Amino acid sequence: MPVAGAGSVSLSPLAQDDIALIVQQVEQYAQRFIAPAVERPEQPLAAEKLAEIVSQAVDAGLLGTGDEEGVGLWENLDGGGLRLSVEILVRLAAVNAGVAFQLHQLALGRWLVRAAGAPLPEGGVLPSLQGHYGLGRHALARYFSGREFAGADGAFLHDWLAPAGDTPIPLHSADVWRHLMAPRMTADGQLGWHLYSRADLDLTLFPHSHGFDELRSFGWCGADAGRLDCDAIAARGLYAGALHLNALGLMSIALGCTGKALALARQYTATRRQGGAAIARHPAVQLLLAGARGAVETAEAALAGLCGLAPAPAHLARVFSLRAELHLRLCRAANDALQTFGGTGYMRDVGMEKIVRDNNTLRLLAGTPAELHLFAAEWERLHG
Amino acid sequence: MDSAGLPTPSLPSLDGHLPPCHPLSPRAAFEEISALTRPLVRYDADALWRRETARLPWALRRLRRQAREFAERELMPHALAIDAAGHDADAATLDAILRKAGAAGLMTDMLPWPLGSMSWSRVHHPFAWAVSIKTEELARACGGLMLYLSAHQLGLAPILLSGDLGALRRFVVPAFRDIRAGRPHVFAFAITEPAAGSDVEDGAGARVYKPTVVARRADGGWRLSGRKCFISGGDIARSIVVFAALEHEGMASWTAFLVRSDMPGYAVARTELKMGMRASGAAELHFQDVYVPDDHVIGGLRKGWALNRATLNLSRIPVASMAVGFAQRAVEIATDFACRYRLGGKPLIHHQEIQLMLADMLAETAAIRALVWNKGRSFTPVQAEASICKFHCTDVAVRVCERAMDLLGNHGMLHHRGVEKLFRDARLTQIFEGTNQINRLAVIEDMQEELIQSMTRSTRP
Repeated sequence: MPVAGAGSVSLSPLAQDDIALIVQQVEQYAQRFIAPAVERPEQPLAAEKLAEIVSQAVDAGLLGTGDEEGVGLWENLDGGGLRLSVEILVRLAAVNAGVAFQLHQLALGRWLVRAAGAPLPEGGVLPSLQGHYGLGRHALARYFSGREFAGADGAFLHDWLAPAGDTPIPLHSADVWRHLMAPRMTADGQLGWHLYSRADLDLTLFPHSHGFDELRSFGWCGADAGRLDCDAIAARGLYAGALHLNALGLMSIALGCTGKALALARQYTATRRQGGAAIARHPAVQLLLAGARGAVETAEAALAGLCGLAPAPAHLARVFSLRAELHLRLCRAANDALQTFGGTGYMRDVGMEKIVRDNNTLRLLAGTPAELHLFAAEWERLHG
Repeated sequence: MDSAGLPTPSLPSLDGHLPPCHPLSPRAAFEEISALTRPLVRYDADALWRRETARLPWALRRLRRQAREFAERELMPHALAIDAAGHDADAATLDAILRKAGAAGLMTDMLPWPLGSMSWSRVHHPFAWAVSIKTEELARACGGLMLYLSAHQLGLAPILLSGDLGALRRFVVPAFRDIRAGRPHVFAFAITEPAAGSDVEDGAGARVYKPTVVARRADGGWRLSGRKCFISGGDIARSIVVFAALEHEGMASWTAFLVRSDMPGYAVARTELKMGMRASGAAELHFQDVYVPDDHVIGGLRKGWALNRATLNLSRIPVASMAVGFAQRAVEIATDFACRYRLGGKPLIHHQEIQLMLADMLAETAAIRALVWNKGRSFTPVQAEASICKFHCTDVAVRVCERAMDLLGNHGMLHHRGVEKLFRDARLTQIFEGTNQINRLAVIEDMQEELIQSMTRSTRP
């Protein structure tokens, strides 16, 4: 996969038919294996069950295992795999966002190892792309741009990407991983990639995270171990590619679960009555639903557009800008969908509040809207 | 010397700002103004909270300080653990909090001494204002525990507003005596029915809604049947003010009945698992031919709708103050994080985007508090004003909590940071006491005379 290359990926009509067929199979997989396990939103999925779902995803070809290129998540990217991955994640998230996020993470971890040319280790690989806080402010944009990247920026990113005991990097996953792949920067501004064994990491458990009840939250820090052999340009391209794919993945998951919230809200408002009529007839409710629909449609269109962009540093600012806007709109949409339920929506067994929490989590991961905007603004300043 | 030729003080400053003692810093510069006018412009550095408190009348100033002191000592230390435990929260801890709140007079301050614990100096100030000041401080410490204590106040409101002195003597005075003696006696307010949330809070909806909790005439009293849901504090209440329609009549017949939790036929069927405010139970209450004597009717037959709406008018400003408490705490957590978390070798607060976010949060919180204090200053709560206050403050507070989560970035979703709980707690304030959509319509309902008059003006716009 040419992670550092620019240009659009064109899909043949056949590839589009293939995508439709695979997406249909993914929907069947999700309904058969995931939906029954998550039908009680107030009861978090047990770790063993999630491990079983991951294993079923491998069997179904959703998650690749060996070195062969398949049609799973984040595979065959120059042959329609971007579009396919987005479609898959949207469908999975419509059933459960936490499970979708877990599969996305594992697939991205595998993509990273393969793109780095390293042998795939036994057991799942998680990516950790973000430093201990924020998104590297202006320094990250300058690093990718190659312009005005000064010593102070290198030192900043060195601190940002080097997890220490007092600044561990948050990580969200069920117990289905054995390795972690993360970038680190030397104090003089050289980026390298590290493939850590889980045993080498110092992990702190953070109980009760805001969303993704299916997963656990950790803080990780580790020594400067497991460095992969990767030249500077390849390391940079790999990082841009991973950030790009991660951004697409997070947007897709947010779109999928917000679409589900909208569907549930439409269903509920068609039957719930107030003032002698179904509440779907009241403008107060119609405006909430219309706003949510607008957000979902905007996200669909934006993602479709982004699927035509190959992962590359030059495209990150565009991806980040859109992500900043979309997550804000999708969070608002999920909140509005919950609001149509009134008090019922606040109860955990209905599932709406979980979608709001999952959406918030997606907004906060890998760069909040302000952090994404800051990156894009600095890129624009540098490149006009 | 700096580029302006002025001495550079060695005191610290935030990036992008001059040190407060720099000659070009406003407060330092004010010292140079004539002694005659200096008192008009100079002021000392002080925390916003202390400055705002100092501007309150003496009795409310005292209330605010006492409420904060109690909330920080008794509620805040338990907030995260109780929230995480949900239904498994330690009952002994919850019970102890209730007793301490009772002993501190926080559950009986709806009436002046000797009937209640309200000091006579507070009688001169509107009830909604005082309650709001107290509620903000409790919410700031823990939303769930605040509701655990405040739902009781809501349960008492229809009795107090009924003007029924007999009911006051029979139900409230003995309950207050129990509370003071360390035997918590909690009241609850039960209006919501499974098929009616907004219909019981909106006149147009009530006109067509067929109530499902019904009172049937019996010898010397009434028999209540049906279900109420999402009743805050219903799981621990000993006295529940239940609104029921009289048999074969509609919502206009709504009557408030005082139901005791030990009455045969009464049951707490379930308590909900909620997104937030988890320390307080939202209960489903079942009434199966519960016999309620005539002297347990509050304020008279068919007076329930009026008591319900009057209660909502009174309670919506305090709901807005809950939101202010959440926003306030969110700002504090975000500020603390920004000052202590280091990125690139220095605290986040040095970064301009962080300063901007904090300034927005401070402004929004100050603005909604000002709105609450302004609208709370009326002895008669006005529906339009109470609803404006409720929906606007709660919408803004949720935004402030979101912004605080954003400021904490990828740490914002971690429970131990406290800010994600504030979002979950604040989210309920946009829903209960009438959804914010119903509250918007309540504003217009209340302004009808004015609006109809505008419709009849002869000139075109």
